[in-house]
Amino acid sequence: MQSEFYPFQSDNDQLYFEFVSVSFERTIRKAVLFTEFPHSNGLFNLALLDVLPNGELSDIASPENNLDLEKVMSTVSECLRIFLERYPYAEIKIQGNTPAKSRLYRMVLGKELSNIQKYYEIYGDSGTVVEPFELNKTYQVYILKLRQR
Amino acid sequence: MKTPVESFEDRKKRVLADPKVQAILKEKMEATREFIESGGLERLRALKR
Repeated sequence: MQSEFYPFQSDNDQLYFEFVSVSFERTIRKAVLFTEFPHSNGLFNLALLDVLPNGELSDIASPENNLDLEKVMSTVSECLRIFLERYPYAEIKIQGNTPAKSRLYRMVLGKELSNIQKYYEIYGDSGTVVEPFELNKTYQVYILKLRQR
Repeated sequence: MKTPVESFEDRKKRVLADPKVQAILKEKMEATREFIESGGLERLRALKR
């Protein structure tokens, strides 16, 4: 993604990232988490969360969060890039646990496909077939990894 | 009296310990387990060979 992104912090392992989204006088702290599935030889899950001031957590894809969506997704993309610098052989599984999140991921991947494909390999799993990601196709699961040169 | 500012590490610990986060991560792990058991990871790695 070529868009502007928010400054972010990561932990020493580059598995937990945080940034603050600012939109119309409203600030929302967001967290990006990568968790490795045991014994999978490098398969990681990606989780996106909003950390609210009262300690509550909410879904990063809820409609009221869409005001600066592009910048938020660019920031997540940067977190992903830093994560993959640290774990270049990782495979990142991206799967929406709600219809809203599934639509969000499909939209972002589709919109940024030509940019993403310069640096990453993206695959989609429909449940029966795994194939290189194709625009206008619906997948249940997306897998992203660094393009090997 | 000023409220102490929560550090990044403290907030990370709080977030990761939160039952809602634990539930989300558990749900994702379960979905990943199903993905692997359905042969998804195998299909993916066969495709890349």
